[in-house]
Amino acid sequence: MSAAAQPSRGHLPKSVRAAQSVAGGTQAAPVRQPYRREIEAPAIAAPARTQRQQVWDSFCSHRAAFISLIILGSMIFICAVGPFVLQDPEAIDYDVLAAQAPSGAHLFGTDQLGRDVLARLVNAGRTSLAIGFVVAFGAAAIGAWVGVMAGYFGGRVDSALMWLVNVLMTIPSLPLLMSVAVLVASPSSAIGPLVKSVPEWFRIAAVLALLGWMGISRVVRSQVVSLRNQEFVEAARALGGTDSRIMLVHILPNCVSVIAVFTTLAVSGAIIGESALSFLGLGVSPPTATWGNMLAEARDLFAIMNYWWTVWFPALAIFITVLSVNFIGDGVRDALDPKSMK
Amino acid sequence: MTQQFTPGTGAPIGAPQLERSGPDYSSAPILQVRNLKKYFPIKKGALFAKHVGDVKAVDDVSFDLWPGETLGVVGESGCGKSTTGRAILQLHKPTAGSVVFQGEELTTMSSQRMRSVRRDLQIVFQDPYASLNPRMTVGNIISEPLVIHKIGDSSSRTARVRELLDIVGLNPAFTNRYPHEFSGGQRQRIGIARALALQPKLIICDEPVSALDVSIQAQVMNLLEDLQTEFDLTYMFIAHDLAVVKHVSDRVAVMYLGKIVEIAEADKLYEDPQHPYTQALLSSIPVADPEVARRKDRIVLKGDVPSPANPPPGCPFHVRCWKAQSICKQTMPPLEMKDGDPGHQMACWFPGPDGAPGTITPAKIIAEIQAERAAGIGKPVVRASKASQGTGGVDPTTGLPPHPGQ
Repeated sequence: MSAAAQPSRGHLPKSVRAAQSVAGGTQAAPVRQPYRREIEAPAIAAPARTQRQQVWDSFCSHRAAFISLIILGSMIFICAVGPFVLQDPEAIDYDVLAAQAPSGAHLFGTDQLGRDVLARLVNAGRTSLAIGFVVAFGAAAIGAWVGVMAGYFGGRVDSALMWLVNVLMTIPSLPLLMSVAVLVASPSSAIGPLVKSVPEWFRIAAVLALLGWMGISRVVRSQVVSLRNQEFVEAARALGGTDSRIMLVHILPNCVSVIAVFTTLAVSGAIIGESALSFLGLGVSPPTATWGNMLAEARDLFAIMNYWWTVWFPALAIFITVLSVNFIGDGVRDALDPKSMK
Repeated sequence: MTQQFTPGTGAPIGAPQLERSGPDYSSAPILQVRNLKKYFPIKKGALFAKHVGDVKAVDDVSFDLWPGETLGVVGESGCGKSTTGRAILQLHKPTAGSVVFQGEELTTMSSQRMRSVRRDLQIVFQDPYASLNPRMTVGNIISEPLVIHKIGDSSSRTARVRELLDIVGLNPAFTNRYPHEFSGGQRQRIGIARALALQPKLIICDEPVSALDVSIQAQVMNLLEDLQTEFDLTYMFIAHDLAVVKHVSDRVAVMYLGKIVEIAEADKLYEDPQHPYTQALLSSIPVADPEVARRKDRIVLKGDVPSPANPPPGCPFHVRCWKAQSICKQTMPPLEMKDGDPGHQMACWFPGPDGAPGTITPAKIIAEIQAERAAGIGKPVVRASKASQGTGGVDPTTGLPPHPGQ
C-alpha cells in the first residue's frame, strides 16, 4: 500500500469549536488552563483517606448499625466473661427446686429444676452465638463459592452445581437435618467415630452450614451471571487478569450486598435451627444450655403462663442478637457500597 | 479576554506543539488480520444441547494495520465491528482465521504468553459507566494493569497512577475517589488511563465516544489524538458516527453483516465511495448547511439488515442493493482493488459511482454552489455554508451567522 497522504487535521468539527468557545467564554478571569486539563470545578481538596477509613466512617454514620455493634459486642463480652463470674449453670438450688421468680438471689429467677436462669443464659449465649456465626459464615462461604463458580464458568459447571443445589433444596430440610445429625452424632455410623473429637456444638453447626448454603448460592449465581458480561470484567481480562483474580477482585466484591444480607439472616436462622434440633433431641444435648434448648424446655403453656422469666429471657436474647446482627449487616452493606459513602 | 486555542489539538496557544508523525507504511504492519471468523453457536435444548446454527458475527475479515495509523471501522449496529475488535484481542476466541500482532500469531497462543502480549494490545470500551468496577477506587482501577503484570512496587505504582491521571487531564488527587463520582467524559478518561498504563502499541477503541454527549466527544477525541502523537499509538477506531471516524482516521473500513465491504484512505472513501452500501451510508450523514442539504439526495435503503444467523447467499448486500444482478445472488465478490489503486479495495461486482445520489458529496455540492454563484446564478443570500468554513462570520455570543438585515 502506498504511503497515504496525511489527512488534514486543521479543520475541526463545529462541536469542537463550540466547546472551545464555551471554555474560553465562561471564565471570568483569564486563568490559563494547563495543557489538556479538562474544564472542571476547582478540586475540593478531599482529605486523603484510605479505603478502610472511608468504610469505617461510613459504617459509623449508620446509627442503628453502630449501636447494634455496641450491643452485640457487649453481649459477646458478657457471654465470654460471665461464666467465670456467675455461678455454675448446671448447679441446682436445692432450697428452691422449682421455678422461682426473679429475686435478689437469682436475678433472672430459676427454671423448673431450680437452676439459675442468668447463669444458664450467659453460658448458653456462648454456644448459641458460636453456632450462629459459624453457620452463617460457613454457609455464606460455601454458597458464595458455589455461586461464583457456577455463574462465572457457566456451561457444564453451572449445570452440575445448580443441579446439586436443586436436589438439596427439594429434600425437606428437617428430615434431612435429622438424618445427617444422627449420622454425625452416632458412634456406630460411618463418620461418627471420625468426628468424635469435635465439640458437639461445632458438629451441629457444621451440619447446619452444610445444609444451609443453597439459597445464597442461587442468589450469588444470578448476580454473577449478570456481572460476568459487564465491560469491567472484560477490561480485566483484556489487561491479562486471571480467572481467579477476576472472581476475587471484580466479581465477589460486587456480590457483597446480597452476601451480607444473607449472612445476617443466617445467624438468626442458625440459632433457631439449633433450637429446632434441640427440641427433637438432636441438638446440643442437655444439660449444656443453648438459647434454643432453654426455650424448648420452657415451651409448654403452663410455663408460659406462670414462669414468664424462663421463656422471656432466652427469647429476648435471641431477639436482640438477631436484630442487631441484621442492623450490622445493613450497615456493612451500605459501608461497602461506594455510592453511599460520605 | 478569552482564551486562545490552537486549532486541532484543543491545547492553549503556547503549549508545546507535537507534530504527529503519521502512519509508517514502509515498515511491517503491526497487526495482520486474515480471514477472521467469529461464529456464535445457536443451541437448542437444555441438557444435551443441539447445535442448530451459527450467528456469523464476523465472517472472513482481513486487513492490515500499520504502526502509527488510525483505522476507522464503521457500519451499522450488529455488523460485527465490536466483535472484530474483541476477536483480535482474543476476548472472544475466533472461530477461524489468523491474527498476527507484531509478528506473533495470537489465535494459537498459550494463555500464559497471551497475557504478556496484552501489555501491547489494549482496549477502550464504549460505555464508561460499565467499564469501570464500581467498587474500586480510581487509583486501584488504573494501577490494576501494573499489579497484574507485576510492574513496580506500591509507591512507584502510585506515582504512575498520578502521572497517568495527569496525562489524561484529570486531577491526580482523585486517586481515592470512586467511578460514580465522575461524569461520563471523566470516566472515559479513566478508562483511557487504564489502557495507557502498560504503554501499549495498539489500542482498540470500541466506540469510545458514542456514549458521551457531543461537546465531551470532542474533548475525548482530541485527547486520543494527542495521546497518539505523544506515545506513537496505533488505533483501531470502531464507531458508527461517520463524522467522528472521518475526523480521526487515516483509513476507513466499512463493514456490513460481518464482512468488510470497502476499505480506503479516509478522504478517498468519503469523496469517492465505490460500494453501494458505502454510498448509502455516506448519504445519510446530515449536513449542517440547509442549501447543501436541500440539494443532497439520500439513498434510502429498502428492508432491514438480514439476520447474521441466516445471511443471504452471494453478496450479503444484494437483497437491498439497487445494482444487484444475478451474479450478486450467487457469488460473494472478493475484497479487491479496482482501477489499480491498491489503497482502495471494495467487495462489489459493480463498484463505482454510476451517478448514484450518494456519490454527490457535500463538497461537490458546495463547489457547485460556488460555481453557480460565480456565474451569477442562484440567490445571493448569506449562507450558513460560509459560516461553516471559519468562525469569521459567526456571532460569538449565539454561534449563528449574522442576520442579513444587520
